[in-house]
Amino acid sequence: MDLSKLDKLIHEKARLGIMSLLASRAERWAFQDLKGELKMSDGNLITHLRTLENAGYLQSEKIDGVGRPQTFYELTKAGRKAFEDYLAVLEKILGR
Amino acid sequence: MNEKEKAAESLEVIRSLMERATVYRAISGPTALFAGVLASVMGLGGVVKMGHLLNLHWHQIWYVVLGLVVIFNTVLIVRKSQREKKPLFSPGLKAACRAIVPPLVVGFVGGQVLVEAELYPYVPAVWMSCYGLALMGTGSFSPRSMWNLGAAFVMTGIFVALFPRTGLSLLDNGIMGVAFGGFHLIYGALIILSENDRS
Repeated sequence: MDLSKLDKLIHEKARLGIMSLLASRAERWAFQDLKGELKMSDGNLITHLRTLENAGYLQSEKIDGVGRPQTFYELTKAGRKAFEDYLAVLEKILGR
Repeated sequence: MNEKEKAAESLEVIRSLMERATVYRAISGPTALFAGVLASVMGLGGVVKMGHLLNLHWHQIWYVVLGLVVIFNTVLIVRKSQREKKPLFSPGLKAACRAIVPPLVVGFVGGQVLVEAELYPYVPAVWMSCYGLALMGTGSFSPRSMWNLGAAFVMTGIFVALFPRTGLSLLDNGIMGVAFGGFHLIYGALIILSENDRS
């Protein structure tokens, strides 16, 4: 087992951070919260979120309410499965 | 860096991010110590003296104590968010508020109803139980010690409720001092010692 078996979409520092945060809890994450935790610029974060969304790993919902509209993100079933597979490959490399 | 080291590094990134996102300590060590010292002093006669001084009823003095602790904790949270350049209302803080506020509101209203009915000895029991439930409510995203602190308050609250007394006595302030003072002092000291060990 080697690193080439890892999902290339996830195996990128920024996207790995996004996937880790989204997998960390059942609730959806607001864009601003993701930005605050990952300390990324708006443009950079949006680009990586779009990449993951286009791959079907996450879904977003824009909510217009009182104040500024907010976009929320959560993992899809395929995204959670891909993240779990990614972790399994890492653990195999480490021989756990 | 070989493949194993790269894999270990990726796992470490995931672990620290997930931990940071899911673990939130609603009461810091310094806040617990501040609350502990203040409640101990109040429990050991401070409430009676302050009551005479400010012309307030004993339960109102305890509200003042709560208010001071909340202000102290808020200042620490604001300073931490400024220091780490993170939003004040972090996901952890929002989750903590969702877990903590409802039991505290119930405790406040329940305590107030008991005060109106002059069932004073039951007031500490309600306050302790509701505060304990609030802390236990953060169990899914807090360190284990927070849940243990909450459980200690709930058990003490139940114990106090099972031994009904009549009228308000110095014992009630003493019980408040032992629980809100003693438990917080022990908890705060343990957190600070464990954090020092880690650093």
